[in-house]
Amino acid sequence: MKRKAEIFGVDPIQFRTLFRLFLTLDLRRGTTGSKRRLPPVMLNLVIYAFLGLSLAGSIVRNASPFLYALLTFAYAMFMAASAVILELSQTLVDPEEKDLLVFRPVRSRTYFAAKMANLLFYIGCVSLALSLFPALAGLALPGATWIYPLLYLPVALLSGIMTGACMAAIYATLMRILDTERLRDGIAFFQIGLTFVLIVAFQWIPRIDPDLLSGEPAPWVYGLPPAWFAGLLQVLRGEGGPVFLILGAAALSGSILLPAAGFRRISSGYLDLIRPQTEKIPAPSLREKKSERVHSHRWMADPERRAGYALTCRMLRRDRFVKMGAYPLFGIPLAFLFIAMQDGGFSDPFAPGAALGFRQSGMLFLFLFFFVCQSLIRNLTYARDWEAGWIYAVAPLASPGKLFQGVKLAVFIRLILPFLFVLFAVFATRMPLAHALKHILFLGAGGALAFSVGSFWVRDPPFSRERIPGDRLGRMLAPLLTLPVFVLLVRLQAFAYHDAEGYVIALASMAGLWIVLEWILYPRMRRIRPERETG
Amino acid sequence: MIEVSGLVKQFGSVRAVDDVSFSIPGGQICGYLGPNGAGKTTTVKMLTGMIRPDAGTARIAGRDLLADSLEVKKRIGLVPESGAVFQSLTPREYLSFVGRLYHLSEDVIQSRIGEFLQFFGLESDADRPMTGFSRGMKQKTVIAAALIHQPDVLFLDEPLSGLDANAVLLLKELLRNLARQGKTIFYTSHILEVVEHLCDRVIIIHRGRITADGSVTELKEMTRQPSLEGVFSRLTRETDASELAAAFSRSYSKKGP
Repeated sequence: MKRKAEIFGVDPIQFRTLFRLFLTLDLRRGTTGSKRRLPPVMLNLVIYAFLGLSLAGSIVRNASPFLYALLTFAYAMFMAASAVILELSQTLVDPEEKDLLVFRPVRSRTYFAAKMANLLFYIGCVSLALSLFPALAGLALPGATWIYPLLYLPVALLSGIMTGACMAAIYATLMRILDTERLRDGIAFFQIGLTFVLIVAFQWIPRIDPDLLSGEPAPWVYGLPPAWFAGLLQVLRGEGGPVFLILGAAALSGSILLPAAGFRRISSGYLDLIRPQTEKIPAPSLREKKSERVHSHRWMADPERRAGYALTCRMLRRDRFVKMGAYPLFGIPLAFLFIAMQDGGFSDPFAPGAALGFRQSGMLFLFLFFFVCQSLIRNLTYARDWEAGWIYAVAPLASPGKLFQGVKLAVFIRLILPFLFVLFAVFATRMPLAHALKHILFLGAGGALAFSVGSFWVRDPPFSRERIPGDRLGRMLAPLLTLPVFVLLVRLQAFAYHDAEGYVIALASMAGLWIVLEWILYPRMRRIRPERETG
Repeated sequence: MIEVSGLVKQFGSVRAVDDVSFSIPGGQICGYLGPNGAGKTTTVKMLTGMIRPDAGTARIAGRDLLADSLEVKKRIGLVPESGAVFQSLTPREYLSFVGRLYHLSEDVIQSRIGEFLQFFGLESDADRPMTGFSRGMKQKTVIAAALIHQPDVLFLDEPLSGLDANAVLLLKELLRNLARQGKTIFYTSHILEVVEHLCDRVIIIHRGRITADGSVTELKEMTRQPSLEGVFSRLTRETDASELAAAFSRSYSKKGP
């Protein structure tokens, strides 16, 4: 074993040491120095398991065994790929390691092998979590016996490993070709698309026609990697037609050959990816400087509010972590808008006799304002340079509440307003301009309200916490706990869209509620102080 | 033990290190001084293989830095300016990790860890994660990690950051002893008083170029200054410090809060 590893340019002792280190660090991140005992990664696995359960439950009764495997593998592979992008990209390349490892006598291939082992370990866990319930639900398929889960899980694991390996190869290749910082900025925007696809796919799968699930798939489907693994599973179950045999062979060769071919080139220069680089941060444009100055002086006399506003504007533009925490959230309302348009549920809520069902455009309210806005505010406690948060502990802040008001205003002006303009443009294609404007105004008011509700979750000053791999999914689900407030606002929405008087009363009620919430929040925010551990 | 010739590093339009050449024999402690942004850390990063030079050559411990970087890395130790450690680990775990990367046997690792922990007074904190450590405690661990494999050449970039007076004394004595054993020590710092008393030789770099190279006595004679601080100021400052400070103080005091 030792000799084989050395042939590939991997030092086995260093490999074992690094792999053990990476696992230890990942398991301790988020738990060391806090009361938290369960690592965020473990919480993610529980969430993934429930996602697998809901998918399997929605299709197992109608799908043929092949299509069932194909859809569940497709879902698991897609989720594994998105896990690499959303949560585990730091596992692939962690620039923080430059000061710790680059000058040590570690070969690039050894470092790469340890990183891959670390990544594939997590991808394996994610795949198994996603596939646990689909494997058990598969017992309900025609002809399935107790052996089905035992065959399903190893194939699911293999599909996950291939996905992780391919993502790593793509990611590392892009990093070699493109400027690292630019690629990471690109990934922040790419996540909007990824979130969009994820939501649409998750909404689309349960709507598949039952006839389609039990029928023969189109020929092009066999070219997709999930079909290869579904074919492999069929072969293992003894359903050995020539098509399944070819698919099974494709799955096995794809799992080994594709990543191996990619890794051969990448591994030799992998350590270069974490070498120190000069960061290319865009200098503020004249327009940006001017607009910040205008906002600062005219709207905010209080210096703490102004400080929060200016800092947030700059961080939203320059800190990659902040951007990656904020931008992907916009994929969610866009996805629901798309689904509403596809379903024919996108209608003018002010039109006489308009209904406000879950699929109507009015229901974007939920996701835009009670998920996105709350998450945005909560995400702004994280930053790449979170350690600079010590300043809040020593600065003579009269009220962190004012600081947060500046932060919220910056988010509203910099992110929500442009997004509302985009929505307005889309709405204007489907309804009269006046109705689109009223719709947008209502959503904007709801956004401000959601900011206040979301602020109740804030426990730390802005940009003062470290982002821990694996805790994003849990944080994204937390705002769902505010659903009772949402239900109240859905009632208010129905009232607002009923007639002109109702609209004014609803807006006034929301404004009143917003003032009350901010009034409660203000003294609450005073208590927020960074807790720093020092020796 | 360190031979550098024509080293160049450019970042965009800025030439951080410009045609730097020097040679430091074994057993010498060489101070590498310069104002902020002069190119000190860039030089250290190039000589330790953290970044690639754009031009020039370097031989460290008899090996070519570019052609034989792995062998060079085996023979050097570095205390980086950042003082970064994996904070979730305990000092014992971190030092074990570093020792294994250098292929030390477990017995040797454990015995050296024990020695370092005792030397720096970290025994009682040896099994506590470093998240709660002060800067000085982390710095002691970083210094131990740089020395655990007994390197021939030691690069120290601001090694005294956060250390208390007792630890500073200990480290200075340790460095002197290591130099006596024939180790080459490349020491960058802004604490000129320490450099003056510790280093056999001082190289001053300004705007990426070497402006002076010699013993402290030679540099004092050359610039006719009584202290290394005076030498440094004379060679790297364009305006008079006292005049500049007086003018700034006047302007600063005028403006209220």
